[in-house]
Amino acid sequence: MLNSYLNKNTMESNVDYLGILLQMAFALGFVGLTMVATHTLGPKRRTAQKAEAFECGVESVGNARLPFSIKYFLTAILFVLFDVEVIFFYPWAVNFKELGGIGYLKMLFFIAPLFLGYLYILKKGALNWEKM
Amino acid sequence: MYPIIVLSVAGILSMFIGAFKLKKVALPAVLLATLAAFGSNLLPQNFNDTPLYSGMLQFDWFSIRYAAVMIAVTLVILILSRRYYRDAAEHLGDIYALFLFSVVGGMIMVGSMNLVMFFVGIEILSIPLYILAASERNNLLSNEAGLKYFLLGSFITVFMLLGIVLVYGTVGSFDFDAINSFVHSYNSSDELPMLFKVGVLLILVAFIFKISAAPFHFWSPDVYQGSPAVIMVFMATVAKTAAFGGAYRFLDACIGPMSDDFSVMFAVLAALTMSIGNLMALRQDSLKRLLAFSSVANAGYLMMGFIGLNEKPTDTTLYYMLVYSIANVIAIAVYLTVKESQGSGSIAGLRGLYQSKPLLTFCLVLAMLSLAGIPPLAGFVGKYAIFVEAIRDGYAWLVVIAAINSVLGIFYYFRVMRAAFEPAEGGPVQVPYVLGYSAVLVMCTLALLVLGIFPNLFFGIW
Repeated sequence: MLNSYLNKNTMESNVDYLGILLQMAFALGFVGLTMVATHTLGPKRRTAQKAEAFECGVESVGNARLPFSIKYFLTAILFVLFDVEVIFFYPWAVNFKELGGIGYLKMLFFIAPLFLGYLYILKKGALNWEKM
Repeated sequence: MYPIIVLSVAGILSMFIGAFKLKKVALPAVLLATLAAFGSNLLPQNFNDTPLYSGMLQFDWFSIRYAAVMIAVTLVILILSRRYYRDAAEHLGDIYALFLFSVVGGMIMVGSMNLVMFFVGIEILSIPLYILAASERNNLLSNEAGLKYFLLGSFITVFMLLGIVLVYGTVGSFDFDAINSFVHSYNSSDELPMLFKVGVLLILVAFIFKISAAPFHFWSPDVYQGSPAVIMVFMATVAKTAAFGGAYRFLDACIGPMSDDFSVMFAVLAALTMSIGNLMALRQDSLKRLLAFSSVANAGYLMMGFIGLNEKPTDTTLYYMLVYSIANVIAIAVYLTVKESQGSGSIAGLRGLYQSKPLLTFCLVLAMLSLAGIPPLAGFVGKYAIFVEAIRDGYAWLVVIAAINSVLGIFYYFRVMRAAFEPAEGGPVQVPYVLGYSAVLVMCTLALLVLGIFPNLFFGIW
């Protein structure tokens, strides 16, 4: 399907697009030329302080590539995981009466693996902020 | 289907065993589960010639044979991993679980009949490997290996996805059978839509990366050297078997008649891969790096099996893969014992092995002879079968290159052997005893001998 669509387009003459192509080339060229021209022709004062990264007035010290603790990520990702699972509870809660006992059992079956996962992270000490 | 279920459940259980700190139970339980998976794989109920689960997976002889080899090699690696994980590893349960999950991914990949399932399989195979490669957390090299493997692997995944999208765009289906009949509906593959061909080529690029063949082999030496030895041998054997099986499945079941168009490409890449692998291996000092390049070279030999795919059985490749895996496992097992006592992973570290451990040396020698392809060992039969088939398909030039490469291979495999017989400066190597280690090694070595003398034991039973 996609193939026939593409063939149809390529069968039409390519000259129609030449104007658009020229305009695009002109527009890009103009932007490029202006940027190069202003950068080279404009006056500049280069100082060491100006070259520094601006950090809200705080003096920037050292390398930004510091190793930092994984526990922020871990907590965040665990939160996201359980948060997403909670979303499935909303439709269940809305339809609680219609789904009845079977629906309740199904939901229990859904939560059981989640609970096992929770046990796992608890036992692994993933939620223990001090020891991690 | 059964081994997939067994190993998945066993993997989850293993994680809990690790979480509840039952370290003693972990390995026996995992071994038992792997044995159960191996048995259930061979059950007659497991065999099914029609695709299951809405045409997603098919457990025919092809996938069952590949699964059997993968599970068996995993079993041996797990037994031998005892030495490596004896006193270390706080996350032992998780590591074993990742092993099992990876095998599950390999089985899904080999058994898939749908591009989506196929992609899921390749990811389940790879993601545990990314983690396992970096599992030695305090080793910088291991971290580097994990990161490199992850970045390059996910990059290549993008290629594969784009290929799948293009194939889907032209065919309108992910199903292998549908794609196959789409290819059949054209008289010759020249008439196939360009986008379809590009898509197939992109998927093949992902394979060439996964089997670490040239020109996408650059990741493998660094990753293999950096990752823990047990993981390295797992990647070089089980993951590679899965990648080859998946490639076969794709070429055979999915694009079928079109796969012959790629014969010349595979032939050139095979020649390139084995030459690069062997030439680079000549100058390595680290045993792991040498084995990594040897694994690249072997990928080249194995790629010869992709030529003229439609007329030949897939047995030879699987046989070669099995034999290569066994030899590789033995080599790494010997490496582990030496590394433990010497602390050095270089080839020179093998010195003095013969004085203290004649049995281990014997195993190592036979493994190296098999890798080099010396009769009567199984490596010879594997190479012979692959070469004969390539000649039959009219690729004599490729066989000449392959033969020259085999000679090159003998050079560096024998270098390893020679080091084992040289006397050590500091007296014989002392290696602590680990239960069942030598027994498994000897059994593997015997398997190499028996498979080499009676190859029909393998080719006959299917």
